[in-house]
Amino acid sequence: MKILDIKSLVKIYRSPFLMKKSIGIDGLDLEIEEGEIYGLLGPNGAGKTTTLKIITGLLQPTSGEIKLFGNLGPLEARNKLGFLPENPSFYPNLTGEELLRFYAKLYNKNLSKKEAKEKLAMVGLENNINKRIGAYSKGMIQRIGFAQSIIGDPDFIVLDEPLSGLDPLGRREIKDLIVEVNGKGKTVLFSSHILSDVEAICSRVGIIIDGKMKQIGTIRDILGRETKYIEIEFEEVKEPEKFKKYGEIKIEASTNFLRIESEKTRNKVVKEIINKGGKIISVIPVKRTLEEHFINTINE
Amino acid sequence: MNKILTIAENTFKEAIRDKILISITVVGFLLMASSKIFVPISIGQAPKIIKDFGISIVEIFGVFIVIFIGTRIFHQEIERKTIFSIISKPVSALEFVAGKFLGLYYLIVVVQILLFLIFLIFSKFYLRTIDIYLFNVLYFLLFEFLLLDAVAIFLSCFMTPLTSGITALLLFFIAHLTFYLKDLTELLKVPGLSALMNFPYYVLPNFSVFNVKSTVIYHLPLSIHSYLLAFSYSLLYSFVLIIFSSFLYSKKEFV
Repeated sequence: MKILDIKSLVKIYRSPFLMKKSIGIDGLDLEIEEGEIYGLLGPNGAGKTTTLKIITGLLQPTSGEIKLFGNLGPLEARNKLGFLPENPSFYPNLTGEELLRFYAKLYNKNLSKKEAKEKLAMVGLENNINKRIGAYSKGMIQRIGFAQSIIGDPDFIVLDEPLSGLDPLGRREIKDLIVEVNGKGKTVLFSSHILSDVEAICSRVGIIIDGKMKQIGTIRDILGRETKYIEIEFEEVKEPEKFKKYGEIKIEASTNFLRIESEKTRNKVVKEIINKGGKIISVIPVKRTLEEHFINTINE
Repeated sequence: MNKILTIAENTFKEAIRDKILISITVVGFLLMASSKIFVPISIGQAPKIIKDFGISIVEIFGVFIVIFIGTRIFHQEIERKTIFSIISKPVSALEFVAGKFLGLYYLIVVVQILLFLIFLIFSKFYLRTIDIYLFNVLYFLLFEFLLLDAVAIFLSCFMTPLTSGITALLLFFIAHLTFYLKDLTELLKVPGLSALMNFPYYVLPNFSVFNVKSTVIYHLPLSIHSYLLAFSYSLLYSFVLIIFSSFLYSKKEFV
């Protein structure tokens, strides 16, 4: 079942006085299936946040079609939707517990104090339950932001840069939580600049550039099955420089590193090393990273 | 209705913990305490002057709080980006606007009652008596501020905080005087002019229906009609303004 179906979405911003146009989204198509973790990638100003804001009802599209949960009306759809905005901000005079109980009530859910504490503990804020939000650090705001996005037990969770402002441990925890809620059948759409994180948890990604969807697919589809190069580590071979004909070689005291471009020559090289009395330490196929692909796509 | 009350409660909690509100209330307290200085120069009019001064302080601070907080209420949500986490939830524009309106009203009721009680304590301390009839002023003030709350919310839907604050303040003073405009038109009897001068009287909120200060201070009788008029006029006008405000708000975008 499609959770989200966007067709030919256009968003044009107009400046207040001169009515000067600027295009935010330019004919974007996006489909998200139930149960996916979908990563939305793109450089700054590509239209990621605009897309997420249109999905969550903060902006109105200029034209195009957007269907959430089939044909549900905006309020019914938002009842099944959770959202974490980019650089979130919350009521500074409320405590963490009060904030979560407030948001839960907007989904017509009465959260007990115990439940609120559990939710805060889930994002690592169990020691800051009665602390006012105004005294929270950026990382803590991001964590409580994630907690509020899932407070209504939504089926579809939209996260705009959920990992920004977090330290490596915090990033790891939020990533684990995203995978955990996904394991409970929730669909997740998130934008991120941290490509290694996207690569680690997303089932599919879409790359937006200048308001247009440039590429969609699974990480494997996008990066391809081909390896970028193969690195062979070997030792105990006399005259290792003779392997230069196969590729770039780095000779160290006792170990040699040979980088070959083609998979076809791999077996031949390995066989030759063994025949010359050498010892294979490792054969590592190095694949293209999402980051490299992303940068290439932008440059294109 | 639950969501309206939830947003109202949240608005109240946020505002009541704000240091600005505490400062305003403390200043009000100090000003009321200073009414003692009028006693030696009042030449036998001390009760009237102290009551008049005290009620004016209660009213002025009420106006200030409603306009200062009411006209900033939405802008603050947008500036702080707290609006993003509300609008993306299953909350309609009407629920949001009505919740904000009601939350601000809770606040003004609490502050007005608090300031009024402070006034009564000073009144007892300086005049050795408490005038129960003064509670009538509180009744009318609370309905006056209900309407002013709706006006501030309405203006903030399409104006900046500064312009909506100035407009709301001007409107508050002008709307206290539209009664005289109507009287003047009846006196002048110039064709065409009456329609022009009656326009503000019928369209602008008529705050003079809540002005019973002199009547109460001089212990003149208040008709049941004036109580009912203040109640129904305030409720009806505020209801219409909140409906308009929610319509305007539903057209807003949050970039």
